[in-house]
Amino acid sequence: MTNIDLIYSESFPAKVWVDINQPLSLAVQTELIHRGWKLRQLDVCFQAFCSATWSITAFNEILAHLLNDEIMRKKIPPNTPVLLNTFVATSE
Amino acid sequence: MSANYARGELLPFSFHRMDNNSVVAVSATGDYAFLTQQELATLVENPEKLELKKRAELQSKYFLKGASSFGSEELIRSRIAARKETVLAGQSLHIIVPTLQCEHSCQYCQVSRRLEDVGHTMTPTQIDAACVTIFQSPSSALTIEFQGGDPLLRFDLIQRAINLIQTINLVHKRRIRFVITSTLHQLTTEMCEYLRDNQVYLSTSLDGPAALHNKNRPLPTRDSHARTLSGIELARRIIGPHAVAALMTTTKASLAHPEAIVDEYVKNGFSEIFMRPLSLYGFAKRNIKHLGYTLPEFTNFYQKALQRVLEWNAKGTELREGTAALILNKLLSPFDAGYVDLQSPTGSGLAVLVYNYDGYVYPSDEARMLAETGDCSLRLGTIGDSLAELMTSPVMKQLVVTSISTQAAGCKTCAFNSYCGPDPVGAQAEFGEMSTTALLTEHCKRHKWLFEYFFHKLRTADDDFLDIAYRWAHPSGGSDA
Amino acid sequence: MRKVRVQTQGIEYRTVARVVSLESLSAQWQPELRFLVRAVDARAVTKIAQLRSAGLTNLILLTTNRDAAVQWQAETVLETADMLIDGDVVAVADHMNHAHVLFRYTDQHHTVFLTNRCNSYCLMCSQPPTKHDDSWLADEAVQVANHMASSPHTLGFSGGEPLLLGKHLRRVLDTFAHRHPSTRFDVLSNGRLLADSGDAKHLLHGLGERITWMVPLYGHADFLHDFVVQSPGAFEETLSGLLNLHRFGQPIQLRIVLIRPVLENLAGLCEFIGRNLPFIREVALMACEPIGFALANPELTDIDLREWSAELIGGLTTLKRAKVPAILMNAPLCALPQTLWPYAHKSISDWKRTFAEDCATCIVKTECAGLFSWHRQSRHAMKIQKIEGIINV
Repeated sequence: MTNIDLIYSESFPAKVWVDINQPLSLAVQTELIHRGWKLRQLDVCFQAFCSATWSITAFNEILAHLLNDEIMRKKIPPNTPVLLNTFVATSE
Repeated sequence: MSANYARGELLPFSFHRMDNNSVVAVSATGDYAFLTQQELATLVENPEKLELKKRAELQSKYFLKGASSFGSEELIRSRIAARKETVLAGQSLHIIVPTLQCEHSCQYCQVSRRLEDVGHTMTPTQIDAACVTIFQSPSSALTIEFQGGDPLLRFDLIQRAINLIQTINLVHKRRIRFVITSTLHQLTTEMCEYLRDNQVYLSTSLDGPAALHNKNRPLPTRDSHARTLSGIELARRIIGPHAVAALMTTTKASLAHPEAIVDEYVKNGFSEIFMRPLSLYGFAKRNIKHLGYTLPEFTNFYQKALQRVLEWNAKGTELREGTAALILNKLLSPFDAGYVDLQSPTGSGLAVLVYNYDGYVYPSDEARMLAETGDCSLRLGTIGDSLAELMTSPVMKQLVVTSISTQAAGCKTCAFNSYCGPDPVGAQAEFGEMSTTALLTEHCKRHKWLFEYFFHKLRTADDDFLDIAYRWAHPSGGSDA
Repeated sequence: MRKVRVQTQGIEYRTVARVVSLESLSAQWQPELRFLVRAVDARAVTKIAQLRSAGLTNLILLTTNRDAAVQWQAETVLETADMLIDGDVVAVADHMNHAHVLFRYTDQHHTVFLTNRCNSYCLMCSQPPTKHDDSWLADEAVQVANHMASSPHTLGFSGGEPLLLGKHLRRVLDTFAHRHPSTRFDVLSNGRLLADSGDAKHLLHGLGERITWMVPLYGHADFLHDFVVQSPGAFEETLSGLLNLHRFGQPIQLRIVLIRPVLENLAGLCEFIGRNLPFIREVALMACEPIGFALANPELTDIDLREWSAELIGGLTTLKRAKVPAILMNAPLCALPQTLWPYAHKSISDWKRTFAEDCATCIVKTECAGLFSWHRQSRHAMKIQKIEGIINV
């Protein structure tokens, strides 16, 4: 098993832990990690590891979009899952 | 003109933010539309207020239903099925690894062994058994690709396989294509004559100009580049001008030379170049520090290389970039070009099988490389097992279950999930767990960047770029994985 | 369809017959067909009378001689001004003032008319539909197949809507396929009645690939298409019909008539075709015939294609990128930008084509589709401009 840290320039170099004052769904947490921010949980709220001022601003902007977009997505019907047995079954 | 229609219902779709004020929305068929924030809000909350031209566009791209929709629903089903042709039609790519022997000691290669090593070669019985399993695939087109090590070191086994497959095919009458992936350093005139007479293509590595290529692929004689070029020349002379395709691997050393690499391909008469990043899993940690590079470093390199490719095209030299062609096929064409990557469910096992020198069958090239590092969890079965046994193995089932993009965590809300699919083999390699959330994997980060990049390019594209994009997007008689 | 002025006697019911010279009769005669035998002089008239007495009762006298016609006691067709040609397949009856030429071998385009009923009411319909039962046309079509002495390269079926023939359509198609095995066929149909898979199977199963289905599509969303064809639900039915045609391996040509509401949305329509219907053999973009319903909706149908060059170029580029072949029909070359001339087809049927005065000295006249003969320069938007000077066609 290998750990690879592919870093998004958005979050690099990180120096400061910044408070996030709203609850984050698992999906948003994962998205932030996907984009390269380190997260940690402190009691009830999360913190993100950001760099100098530029990164804090960028982080707040992105977080705002992620949260609003998440609300928008809830109004859209989800895709019907593809039937699994179409692919698992085989014919001789 | 008034439009008398019942209020349309939303169909499933997702969107990806392009910037503060706009998104690209993608429907279940993979049709896309660029929307402003306002248009997105109107679509979701008050679709009856959409301006008529926008409404027509969004209906025709399956974001909204019309008054009745039974014909459109049939079309949606057939559009989605067309995207999955490669995984629905059966295994079309069969990779045979007759030996691990190779004279190189490339720093990034996970697999090869020195020439003197024995015990890393397939037996003739295993070759024969693999050929039987190949024809159990229902696919009407079969590509058989020989890899290694350097498979030319066991040319006898290659000939055995090709002759047997051709014999079996007298009955089956499938469309068959043979490819040998090799450095070409062992290529002889006799081999080329056999290849010509049996319509076998060659695929080789060309990492760039000599200094770069030789640095990446060291030989004691330090002339890998020259020997590869003379292999190419020999093959073209005897077999034909299109006998050889070339692939490159991007290493840390490559990053500084995007234009030179592209120019090298043009100089040597290739019409396709495939800018492939390095898969880092399978290496010892110290090697990663040494060889690895960040995503921004790769994307920066890629953009420059692609720019150079487009410049060559503008000057009248036909040159296609393989990664771009793969992505553009997903975005622009209703046809599945046959790449085994980016399928949902995964192409590993469903579209490709690897018959390895160690006697086992693997679902992909990466899976057999993973076994070389000690993780053998991705073996589907033994060479000689029937296709049905391989496909009903627990490993295969797990591969399928973890790679449905409309179900996997993170993927199901991703705008690109009709173009893409999780890579459970990659997840196993990176995290030791096939069901790892795709968002955390290298595979996802790289491909999300690529989709986003090409959507940006398409949004501002001029006619020349669009002509090239559609040309590359159209499947042209299949492609090698 | 071409009509030739004649006077008929002794033919009570509409009859299909083949025109033949007396010399050729013996080679062609068959008991189940009817023949219009040409008599050039009195001797010929006598000979034909003899043949009839001998039992060849399926012969009808064809003459230009009024006296001979008066003396003849049995069925006669008297040609007055225009002439019929040997090989013509005609329908004649006493109550008709004309012989309807249902098939003439020397024509460039051949069409067999199957019904005047239709289930759509297109804004620009050139053959406005009627409602009465005209199923006798299906039987007549079978008769035409039987009476054609030669097999043309291509033959088209149209109406109205041919699918309204129900099961009789297959009978007509099979008869033509059997009698004329080397001919390729076109069927002009909206495809709506093929939406049902069961009906589609009945009609299409085992049909082979010699028929091309020419199906109109006027929009990429239901409200656009349904508006042009004035029938709610038509779009979805046509899409389903197209998929069924494809399922049964039937070649399809999409027909797009270039009226205003279609041109305004041409970009979206071509993109829709490229992404959703890439199996289409060909797309035909057609300039509108100024006849029929089109005259009632001039604000939508009377178009000068010159004003829509950008839309035409855009649509054809989209189709080219999607690798869907396309052609332009019924448009004179002077109305198109030169970059689109390679797409232009000479497609107006001989019997309805004409040229304007100005065309006489146009250097590309021989390559041009020309105009519909009911085109009036002063009344229509599309103006003719002859092309002069050096052009690379």
